[in-house]
Amino acid sequence: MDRLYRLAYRFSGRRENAEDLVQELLVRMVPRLNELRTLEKPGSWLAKSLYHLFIDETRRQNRAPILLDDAAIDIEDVASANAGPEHDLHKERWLAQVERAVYRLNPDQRSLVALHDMEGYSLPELSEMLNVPIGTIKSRLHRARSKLRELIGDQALVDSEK
Amino acid sequence: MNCTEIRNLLDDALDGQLTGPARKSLDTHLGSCADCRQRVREQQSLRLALRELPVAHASSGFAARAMRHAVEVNSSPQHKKSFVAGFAAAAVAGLALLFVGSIFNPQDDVELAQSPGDSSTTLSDARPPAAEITIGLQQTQRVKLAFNSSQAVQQVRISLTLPDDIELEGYPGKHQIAWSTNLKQGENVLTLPLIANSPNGGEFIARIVHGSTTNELRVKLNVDKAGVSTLDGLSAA
Repeated sequence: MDRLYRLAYRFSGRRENAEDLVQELLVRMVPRLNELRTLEKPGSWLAKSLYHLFIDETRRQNRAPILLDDAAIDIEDVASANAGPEHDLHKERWLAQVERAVYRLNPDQRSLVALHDMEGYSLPELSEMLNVPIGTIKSRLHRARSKLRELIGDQALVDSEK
Repeated sequence: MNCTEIRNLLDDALDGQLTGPARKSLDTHLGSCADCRQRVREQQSLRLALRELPVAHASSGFAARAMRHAVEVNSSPQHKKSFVAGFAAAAVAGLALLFVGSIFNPQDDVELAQSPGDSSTTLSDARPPAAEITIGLQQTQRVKLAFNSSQAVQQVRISLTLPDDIELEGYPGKHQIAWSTNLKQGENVLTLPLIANSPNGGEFIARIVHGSTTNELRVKLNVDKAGVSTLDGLSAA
């Protein structure tokens, strides 16, 4: 459950949305228990289902792109969870910059970066999960990372002008 | 190769996908190009940051609440599911050392009795484990089982069956352990300090018995000699 919530949070960037996603997944999963129990890797199946649920939900709601000011990140929770003697302002600023950029990616790009670069799903795993060739996964990841670097660059400019 | 070509290879290189002549070309180029070395450092830094981005904690009691809701929704007249199926659902959902079961719902007990032939409602030895855990060798690994009871229940019998080389801390050499306890309404957490004495592993079975109702959870235990603890491929909490 922790891993599902974590992945849902990576996708959505907000605790409430992550909990909604996991909740909906559980509701849909219960009728398919017998199928789940026969799977060799139920964790991957659940991650795949969560991914499709997230993509479907974002498309269904036809949400506008998340703008910087709307970046739906639980800043207070995150900060309180990480405050401590090793608090590093520079690192925190860098992470915040990366985080803002991640949540400005479109949902497809963000979920791919979340699965591979944040949560460590391998390219073959993603190929199987998303039912597309590894080459396609690599191309999509490449574009997503390029966009991410571009967004971080934009954000760095915004920060330097403050 | 020029810088543009090299930079197109960086994703593959950082993903560990670049081998052979292409890898050699990359290394050769990086040895003489400060700009590309800087690009590599930037991309490594970004990847490290992505892995370190924090996650806000789920709200208190979310796992049990979500599981309860999922079972309730599917217990509607159109979606009624068996008592055992609900329990198994919880087990599958508990992929982070937390198993949540919805138990002792009298209404569901009736459903169970009415469907003896349904594979999802029988408790046979052929049932596969609901989860797989890897624990370290010769070290205490605490595994938590959380049972969500729809009501307070007195005098529930809990029994554990452990593989030959796995034991419960404080109970050396005992592989059948049973005791009686009371369950409160809502979530009840049972923490089991397990120790692996050999790399053999095996299957661990937890049963909760009340009257004629039995809940059973099977967990496959693997042992990692290097002391790495995981559950379904995840790092253990």
